[in-house]
Amino acid sequence: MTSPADSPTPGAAPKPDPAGDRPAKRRGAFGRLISDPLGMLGVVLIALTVLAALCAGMTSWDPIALNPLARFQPASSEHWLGTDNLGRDLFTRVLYGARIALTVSIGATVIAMVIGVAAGLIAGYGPRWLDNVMLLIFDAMKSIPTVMLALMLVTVTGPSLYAVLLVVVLVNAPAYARMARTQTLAIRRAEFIDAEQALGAGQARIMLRHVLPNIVGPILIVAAMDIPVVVGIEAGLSFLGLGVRPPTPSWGSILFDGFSYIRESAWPVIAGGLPIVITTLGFTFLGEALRDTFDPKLGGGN
Amino acid sequence: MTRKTTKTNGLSRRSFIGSGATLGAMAGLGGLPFASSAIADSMVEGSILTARVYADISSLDPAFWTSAVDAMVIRCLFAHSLMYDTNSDVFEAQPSAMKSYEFIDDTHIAFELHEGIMYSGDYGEMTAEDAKYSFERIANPELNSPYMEDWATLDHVEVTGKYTGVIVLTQPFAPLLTTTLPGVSGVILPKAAIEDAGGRFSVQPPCFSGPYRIKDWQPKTRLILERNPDWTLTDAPYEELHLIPIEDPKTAELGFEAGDLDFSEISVSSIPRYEANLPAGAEFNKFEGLNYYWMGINELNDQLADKNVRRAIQLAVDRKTVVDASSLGGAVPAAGIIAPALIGSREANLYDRDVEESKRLLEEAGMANSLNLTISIQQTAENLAAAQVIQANLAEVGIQVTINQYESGTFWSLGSKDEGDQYLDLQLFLMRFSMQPDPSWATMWFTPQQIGIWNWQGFDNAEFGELQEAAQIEIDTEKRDGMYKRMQDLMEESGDFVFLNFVPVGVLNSDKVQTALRPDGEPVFYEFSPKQG
Amino acid sequence: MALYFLKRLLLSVLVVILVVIALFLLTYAIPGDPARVALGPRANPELIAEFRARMGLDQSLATQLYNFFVSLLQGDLGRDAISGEPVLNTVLSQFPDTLYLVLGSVLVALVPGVILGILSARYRGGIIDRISSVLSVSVMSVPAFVIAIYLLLVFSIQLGWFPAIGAGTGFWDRLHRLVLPSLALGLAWIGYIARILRASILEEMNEGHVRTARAFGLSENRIMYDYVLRIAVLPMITVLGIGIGQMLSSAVFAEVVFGRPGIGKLVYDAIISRNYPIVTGTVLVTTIFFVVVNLGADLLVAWLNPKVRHDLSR
Repeated sequence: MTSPADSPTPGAAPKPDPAGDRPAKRRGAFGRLISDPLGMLGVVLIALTVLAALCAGMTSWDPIALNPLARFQPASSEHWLGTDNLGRDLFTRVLYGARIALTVSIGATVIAMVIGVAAGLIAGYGPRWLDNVMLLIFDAMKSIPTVMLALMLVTVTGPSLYAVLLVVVLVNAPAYARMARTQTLAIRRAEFIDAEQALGAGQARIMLRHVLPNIVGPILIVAAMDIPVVVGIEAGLSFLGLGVRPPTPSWGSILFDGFSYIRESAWPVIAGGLPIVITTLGFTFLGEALRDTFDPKLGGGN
Repeated sequence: MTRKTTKTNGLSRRSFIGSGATLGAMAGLGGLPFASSAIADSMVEGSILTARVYADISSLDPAFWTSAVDAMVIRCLFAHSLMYDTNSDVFEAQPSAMKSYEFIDDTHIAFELHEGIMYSGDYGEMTAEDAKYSFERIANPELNSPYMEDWATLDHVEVTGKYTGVIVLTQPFAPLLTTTLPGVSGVILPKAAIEDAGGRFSVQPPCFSGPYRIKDWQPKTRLILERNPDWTLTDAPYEELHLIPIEDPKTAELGFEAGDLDFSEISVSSIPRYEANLPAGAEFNKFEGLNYYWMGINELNDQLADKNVRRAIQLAVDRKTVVDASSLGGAVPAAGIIAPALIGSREANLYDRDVEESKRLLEEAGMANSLNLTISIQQTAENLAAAQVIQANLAEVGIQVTINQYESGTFWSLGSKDEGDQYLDLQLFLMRFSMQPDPSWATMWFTPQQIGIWNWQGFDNAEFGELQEAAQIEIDTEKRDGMYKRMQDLMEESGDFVFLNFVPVGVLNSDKVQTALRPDGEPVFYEFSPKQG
Repeated sequence: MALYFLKRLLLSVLVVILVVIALFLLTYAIPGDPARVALGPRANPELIAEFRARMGLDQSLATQLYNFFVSLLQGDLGRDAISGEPVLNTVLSQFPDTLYLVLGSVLVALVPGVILGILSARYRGGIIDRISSVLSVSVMSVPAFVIAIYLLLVFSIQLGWFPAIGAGTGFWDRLHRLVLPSLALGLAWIGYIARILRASILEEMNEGHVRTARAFGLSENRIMYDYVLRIAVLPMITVLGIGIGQMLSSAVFAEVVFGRPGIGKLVYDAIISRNYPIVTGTVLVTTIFFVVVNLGADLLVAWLNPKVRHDLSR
């Protein structure tokens, strides 16, 4: 939507590169990644989130067992983040929330990636008119502001995690599609492809050998940048009561419960918001570092 | 959407129950117009009261109003026959548009109207003919007013003079002086105006006869009332009343603290906080409520048709924890739907929580660990907390519950037959009804005729229906008391109801405002006044 | 140049048409009576009858779509399923409050964003640049509603500096109440603005004419403001175009948290009350606004940028 239809760069949104002028070091990709302090911090924060998800069953509390008499307790050695309005241990709920956040964000991103790449390949390989139509559709999808699209879909499907997944796929798939399409077009024009085709190589083989390897890097970067956005969408919809249903502990619903009682106790709000901040920062830092590492010229996301 | 709201504080039984005899004699003796309006303040020019109401107006026709907000506004716009006292501990009604009334016998009540109550427009002065028309209009089955029952035993009104008449009943009617005449059904409007409006009206009244009239209405934003210059019976201290519809009480609390509101009812769960901690420049009062809160179980739903399943649900719910969690400790479980201040109030429930028995019943019904239910609630923090406790309680006996939250308008249509078959899909629901200070108002919504209207449980008990009729015309207090207790027993035995609590009312007002509240905390806005100095 | 304008315009129109078709089809994606679905379970019977007549539900899908477009072109977005008011009126009446909020947020994003962008480009690699870079990345990833709640917690509830709810009355009161919601929506975009500005300043500084100017001994300040910034702000305009659209839709969080009226609150309430015509209408109006703002930004950039102008006219 922000550039003419045949824009050469994937992900037309103009997110500039802050460190494009940084001298490229000749080291392994991972080595370069963790030598970037921000990237390192990102990895640590993500590791923290993953650890939280893994440890979810290991506290001495049940995330949905109620004890209203113990409500609104401040943080203590017993309840590390205090308790909510129903006396549930917030730390435990946050840990379980990490499972939902990670599952939804990574799952949805992968689905969006697969669908997006497939669509991009079709657009790139198909006839010219199909390409144009698909580009138009990608543009149209990006033209509906994310939150509005989410609200619209939830109206149709009713509140559930599936609605959240659907939203994320619709919002994020076009960026992947564009990348795959651009790469496909470039490959198609390359002469060696004609040669291979002449030698009888199948389309699928060509895609596997020449298209996919070329887009893995950029796609991973976009994915890393997408994950925090997805975490935000899931939490946001749950916050509005349109995502997971109670008593499932999503960070968004913890935050909303806390918001209802924000003047009784600050702890539920702190407990619900903090992991969202940590996770989104972690993935964003990682994405930035990945970008610096792999492709200094790439802009991505929207 | 609730109907008439009223709750009470330290309500003395004597004052209502005897109805006819006691009250009538008192009022007849008194005959002093507006003995209640102790407010001596003169009218203050340019003064504005900004108050929160929980909903926008939806209908101002005395025969078709729907919410307590409608009733509050109607109270300001039209002269009522009688009016409840404000700022008193005891719920009592005083003559208002009526100058006096007198019981000739149990079924004949003579009344005299004040002279000089003027209708706006060209509808002239209020006369006994108007009273006859207004009362008989609501009683007329052809109009099909939801408030027909307010005049259940009205035979006719006999006009004996320009300002005098006699209300003739077919049978004695206990709620007449406690709820009918002081309530909206006691509003007197001229026939010509109603007919000019096409037989009924909604939000644009054809004329006004009360202390205020509508100046401007911006739907969902504000309703501005201004002083009615024709009104002479009492003071109307504020020049204008600005009523702001804010559905979420917690938002209203923030608005009050930001100085946007002079008056607001707050949420039940905030009562403990305001009791402990008052914002500067504010006054807080708590009132015992008459409004009742319960969980309904819809026996019309296929999954809940088995009475044993419903009993199992009843037995599984930990009422004490539900009430504590939703009110943050501000309320205690109730034994029924008629508050302790009224006759007919029960002392205890017929059962106690029993998880084992509940499981046994479910097993017997072949429903062990196989029941998936929904609980429908209005979207508020209190309902959500209560629903989550119920969800956890029922999980203990192997019933999975999904919570469905609705905005108020949608919620109040869920159990209505008019909306298609969805009333059969309803399973569990949390509901809160408002009350008038007479027990008949608590029970009248659960008769068999109310199924698909307000009886969302599908509670269908012939004895209950008969008792409802009989108790209305019973003026022996003791007998009446027993009848209402029996009715609540029947409700509980059906397995359709889990009684939760009576809803306490917390009210915040600016210390620059002298409020005028009924014993239940319900505001009578036209008696509010700015504090001097 | 004219050709580019035309192409760009055409694309926008096509996109809007596509979105309309999608919204239209969504109604049919749901099983059940389309009239009931389109209007929601609470629609009153008269409105349903009217809807059937207007949309011609017994006709073919294509005819219905045509009817839908025709009424749209006449500014008819249908009627509120509950009150019966025209949807367009309701949406437009709520629009100004959201617009103020978005304007406030743009200011919040723009002022610090521009300052940070210029400083970090001027002192590239320095401490300001590093801090600004970390800061930019940090603020742009945290969701607006988390920021909103934390702002509410700290500045309204703990400190009591700002009123917690409403849009207020009178200029100063309105401004006062705009501060926190604007911050909530605008903060994230400080990062975007600062980064895009920094990058385009750096790029521009390497251009020939700037180097020439420097060779002539012009002061760094003059070079920055006379030569570099005039061009370097252009990509920022494009980002702002997108930003405005995203803020417009994220407004729902700020409006819910701070109890403000606006289209976000409108659509939220409409979803909860299953008042579908309002939802569809709001999404459509917002989308069109978004498309128009982006189009405007792109055209403005094209028109202001001598290079692009030149390239495009070839």
